[in-house]
Amino acid sequence: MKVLLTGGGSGGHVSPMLAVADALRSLKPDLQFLYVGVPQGLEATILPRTNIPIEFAPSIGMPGGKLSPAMLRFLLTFMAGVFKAMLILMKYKPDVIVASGGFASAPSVFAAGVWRALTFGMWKLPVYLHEQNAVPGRMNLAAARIANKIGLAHEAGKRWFPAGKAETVGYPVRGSVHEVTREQAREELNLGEDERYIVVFGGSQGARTINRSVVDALPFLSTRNDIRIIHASGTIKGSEYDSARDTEERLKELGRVPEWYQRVDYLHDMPKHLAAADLAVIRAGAGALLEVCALGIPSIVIPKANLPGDSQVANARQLAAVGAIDLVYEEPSLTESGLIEEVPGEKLAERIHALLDGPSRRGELAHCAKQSYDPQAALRVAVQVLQFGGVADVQVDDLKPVLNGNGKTQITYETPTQLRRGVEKRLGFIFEKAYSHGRIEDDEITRLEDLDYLRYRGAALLVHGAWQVRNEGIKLLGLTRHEDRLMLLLHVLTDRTPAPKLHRYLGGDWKYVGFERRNVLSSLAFIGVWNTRVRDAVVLSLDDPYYEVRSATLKLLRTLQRDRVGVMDPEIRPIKFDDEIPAKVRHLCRDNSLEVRVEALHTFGWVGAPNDVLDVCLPLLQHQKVLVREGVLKAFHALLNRYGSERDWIDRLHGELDQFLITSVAVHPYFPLKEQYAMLQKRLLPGGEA
Amino acid sequence: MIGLIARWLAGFGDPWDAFRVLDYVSVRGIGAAITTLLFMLLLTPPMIRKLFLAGQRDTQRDFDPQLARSKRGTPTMGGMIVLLSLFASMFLWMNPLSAYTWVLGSALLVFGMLGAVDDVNKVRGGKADAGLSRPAKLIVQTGYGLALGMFLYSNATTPFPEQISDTIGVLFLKPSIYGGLDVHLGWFYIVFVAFVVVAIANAVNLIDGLDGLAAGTTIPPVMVFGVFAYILGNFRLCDYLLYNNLPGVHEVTVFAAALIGALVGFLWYNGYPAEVFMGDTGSLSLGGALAAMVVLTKQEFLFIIAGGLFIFVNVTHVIGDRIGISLLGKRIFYRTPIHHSYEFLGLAETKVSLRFAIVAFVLAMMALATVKIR
Repeated sequence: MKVLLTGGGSGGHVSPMLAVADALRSLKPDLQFLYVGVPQGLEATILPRTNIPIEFAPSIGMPGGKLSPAMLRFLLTFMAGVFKAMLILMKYKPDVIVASGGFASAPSVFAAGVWRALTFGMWKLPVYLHEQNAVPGRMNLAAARIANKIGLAHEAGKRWFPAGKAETVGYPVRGSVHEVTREQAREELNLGEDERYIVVFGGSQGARTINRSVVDALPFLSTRNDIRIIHASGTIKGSEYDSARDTEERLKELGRVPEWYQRVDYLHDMPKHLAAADLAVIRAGAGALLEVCALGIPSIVIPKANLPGDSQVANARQLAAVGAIDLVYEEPSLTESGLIEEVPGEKLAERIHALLDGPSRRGELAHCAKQSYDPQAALRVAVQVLQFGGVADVQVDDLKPVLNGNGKTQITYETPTQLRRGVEKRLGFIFEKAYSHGRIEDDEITRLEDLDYLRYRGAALLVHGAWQVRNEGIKLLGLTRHEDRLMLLLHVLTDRTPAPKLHRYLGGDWKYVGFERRNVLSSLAFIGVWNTRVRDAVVLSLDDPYYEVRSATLKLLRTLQRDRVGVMDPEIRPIKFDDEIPAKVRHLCRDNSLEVRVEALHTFGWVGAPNDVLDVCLPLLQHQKVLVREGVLKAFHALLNRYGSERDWIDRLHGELDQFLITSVAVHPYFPLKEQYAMLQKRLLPGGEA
Repeated sequence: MIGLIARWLAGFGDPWDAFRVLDYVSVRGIGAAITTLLFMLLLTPPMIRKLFLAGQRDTQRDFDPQLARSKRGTPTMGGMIVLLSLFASMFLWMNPLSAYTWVLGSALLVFGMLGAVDDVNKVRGGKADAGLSRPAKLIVQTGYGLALGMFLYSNATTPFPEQISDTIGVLFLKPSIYGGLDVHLGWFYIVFVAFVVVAIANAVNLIDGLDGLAAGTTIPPVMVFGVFAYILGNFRLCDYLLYNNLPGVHEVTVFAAALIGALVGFLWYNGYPAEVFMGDTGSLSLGGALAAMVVLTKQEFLFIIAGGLFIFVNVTHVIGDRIGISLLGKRIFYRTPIHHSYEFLGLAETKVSLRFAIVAFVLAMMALATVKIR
């Protein structure tokens, strides 16, 4: 029987295939294998070390978005890859294809589909697809249409695939990971009895967040003399980020590098280092994550944010929910080159300290991690593959059912918009109500399930390239009242990075578009904080070129003031605005935009001195625009709320008020019938007064 | 039909001769208008009940149907009633042997069906964005436009005189027989017709957003093209006003009259506060019919004046929505379609509707004023 294995690109796709190959061999020693990968992938270096022959079919990752040169390149490469894979299939004639997903396996899977179509299904070419992530990528969703069966690493992945096709089998881990014992490994590495060995690696390419965070954490760990850190910084050498150089530079800046710290590009002997480790700091790619869990190593996991489907975060949350890992979210922070995801070194150091000083917590993590590991995953896949290939007499004793987390671990992925809508639903009001709803109470927020995740997601979305997505992040930060991330919101409001040229020709201004800036102000209204930074940003946005931002700023000022007037709590006082703000608001009463003018009049009533307000408003009593007159009235009401006891301005207003032009072109419909109907409905409700 | 019967009867000579009156365009037109109007007035109240019970209720966003200030829940798809009355009137008063009749009927039917599917989907999905997707609509509309273009272009089927079947109407330009110039497009005429059909149909679709707005603003341009069809169908008037005569185009006049009757009848119930909305069924078929009238009278460029309001609403919508909201992430106008902008600025809905109708009327007058300017 001939088996074609395919998949690769990164280690996370290759090693499960090798694990499956091992398991297949253990069941049927006479199997033939062929591996199909991509030349640029890790499989090109790993496979030659095994005894499985490898062939290449070109493929690259699918770029996001619409038609672009990158998309065109992808399509051409992809077509060439499928053609090459068709030739390989014709030559090799496999009985079954096992794919581990991702772009590297795509040519073979689609070639199988093409062959099936060309032979009208005469050539069956069964395809077994293994999905490692809790949230599948687009390529795997497409490949799933061709695949006959889909094995899932996570139960949560089921909802994405056609019912009946997908089955949870777990994540296949190679037996060789377990071959080195802890004692052997520690001896080889020359580790003392009390020395705590920490392995830090962000995947074969390296992870910027982890690399920088670990270096930043070193000073905070310097008090310890019981640790050794091995840090594999990765091999990526891009124009944007060169992992080795960047890390070395940062180490140099640090000055003295502790002797217990060692940086390497790549750990060739990963099984040994992992076997010796007391703690691992890793990314949440499915492969590394589950292998570390399989070994029962306590780990601090920093999932990469903003991947398609947020797949790493989903993987990590899945395991964190059963207490198998210590999850640390990336958070965007401000650097000279804009917003970049990071984990502050101090925070990482804190977590490391906590784990090293708390053996019970470490033991718990190790225990849960081991529990979450399912050693029979590879075997399960192998049995299914053999059945596919027509080998009926596979006998495996005690093949246990898949380890399934309880219902709680079902991590579902929601798009940013779904997420925001969900929060709105749970809070019971919509974001657009920012200025009328007022401040959200603390306990309303803390009652939100998964608040940490919501806040992480809100902040992470701000780094996204599309404003529509960032916009949802801004709303989430406001709705969850994430005061810690106030700086990010203010950055969006005040950043003056220009928009792309085409956008500017059409009337765009800055990278953070008008809607984002407008919504930041709504979020600020939810958060309700007033300090000098907020004040500076607000003053700046009173001059914003986009009218909705000016208008929203005015609404914010009003909301902040209104919510504080008449409150008995001595802690909460009306804000004493400095002279600049009322002066600017007064200026906006003559703005070009009618919306801004009206808002400015209303707001001036809340921030201006009584006689100033009268000076501005009294000449407008017969203004042609009905909204302006409405704004004037609102300003007077605001003044009454604030200075209702001062006679002199009230007398002045009294003298003039009969000059007010009360004809109106604005009417709102009012249907008495509907009101009667609604009342009747209410009375008929169970519990209503029947 | 009545016209044909009358003509046949008139063939028997005196006293049957008097029936010839019923074949006159003017008489048929007024008859058609009164027929649709009566149909509308009688048919609408029971149909409103039927539509409401069938669940065809308006699904505006963000409104509570029972809110005393909300108009949500108003029966929609009133365009169905307009279509029924129109078809009845067309059957009675238009010449079933004329290609013009069939083009107009097909436009109503295709666009009406498209709108009806959209309306039903919206109601089923429970929200305003659950209707047909934009590409799906565009494909059907373009398909119809191309088919119409081919029908009008091909010598075998065209109702136009063969030598001018691929010409278009350019404002202020005399045709070649009067020493001017005919603008021949050749096969490109087919594409041009498709473009005109899609553009006009969507333009009318977009303006349907306030009580009485779509009906009130469509009547004036319909009237303009009815008048032009009357002129173009009469060779003496054509000779005087320097147009290419289009024999048989009189059917468009009858149709225009029927349509005006239907719209007036619809306004009876759709005027503020509306008892029924026309829905996409109405606005799309209205747009399709208007587009067909424009193409059949070969007065495409006249639409820029007569339908100036539609063009304004469309252009501002494209700028405000496609460029502003989708691309730049900011509002360029307060709200689009632009009539909502005026509402946003505090004008009552009734006032916006009335003012738009006035503007449409003024533009129609301007369009009519071009009739002798050659």
